[in-house]
Amino acid sequence: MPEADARLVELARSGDSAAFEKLVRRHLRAAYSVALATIGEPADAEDICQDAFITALERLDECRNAEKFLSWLLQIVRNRAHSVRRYQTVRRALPLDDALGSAGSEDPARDMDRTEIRQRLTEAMEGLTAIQREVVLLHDLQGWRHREIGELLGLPEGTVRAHLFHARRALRARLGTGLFEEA
Amino acid sequence: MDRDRIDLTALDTLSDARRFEQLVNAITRMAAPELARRRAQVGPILLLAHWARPLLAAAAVVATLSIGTLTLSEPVAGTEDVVALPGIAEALEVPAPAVDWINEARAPSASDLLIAIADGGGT
Repeated sequence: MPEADARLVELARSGDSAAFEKLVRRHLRAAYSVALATIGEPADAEDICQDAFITALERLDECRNAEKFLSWLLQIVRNRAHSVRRYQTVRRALPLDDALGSAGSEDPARDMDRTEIRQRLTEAMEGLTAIQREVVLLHDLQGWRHREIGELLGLPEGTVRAHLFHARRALRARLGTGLFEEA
Repeated sequence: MDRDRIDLTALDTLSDARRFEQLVNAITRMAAPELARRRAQVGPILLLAHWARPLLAAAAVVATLSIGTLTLSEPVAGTEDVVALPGIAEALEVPAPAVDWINEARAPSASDLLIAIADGGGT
């Protein structure tokens, strides 16, 4: 059974590196989705995640309810993403290994397709509200359930469904039908 | 599988396991100084915390023993004043003749004062 967030937060407060790394691994994808929902650019979203986790660690004593660590972390992510969006000044993040490129593969044609799809998706996402972007990314990208998203965002499940429905409809209208996953 | 789901994986750079690991490593490297600071801070506090419990336990034992001893060695009723008065007078270095005035609750006469001065000067 995985350790509860509250326990990992307690350990991280006393400087336990392993506990902090578990928190990062557990919540990085959600943080990335929320950052992406605000900022739109995957590379910026990664930088914001780095920055938000470090800020969270520095302010860990302010996290009153450690069981709600993720909600607290995502608020830091949102604030940071809004700040970046306004000022476009991200704290200088450690560069990832350039040898890897931006998730490139050994198939340039496939990479080009992926880049084009990414561009189209990014533009289409711009037309959604922030909450619609968060919901659709957490649901369709990270595979979260309506209930989980509702608990995280403090929304009734029905409201989450409504945001998801409108987000998908708007995305379809902008993208056509080519990007939808088959059953 | 949800038929309505939209394929957004092109936006997910972290779906690449290597990319995910690199980001985790970058974050943990950046976090290292803060984690080290926290470990250093916790050191002395933990040390005090380890000492606090035995010290409190020892203090409680001493307090219990002291209360027991005091309760058992309570003096016989009525003897406190007789025993205490010379003790206090000696402690305050009150001349012996003055103790009589205090016990008799009267003002000293002129001869009493002369005797007291002579006795006090002699000591």
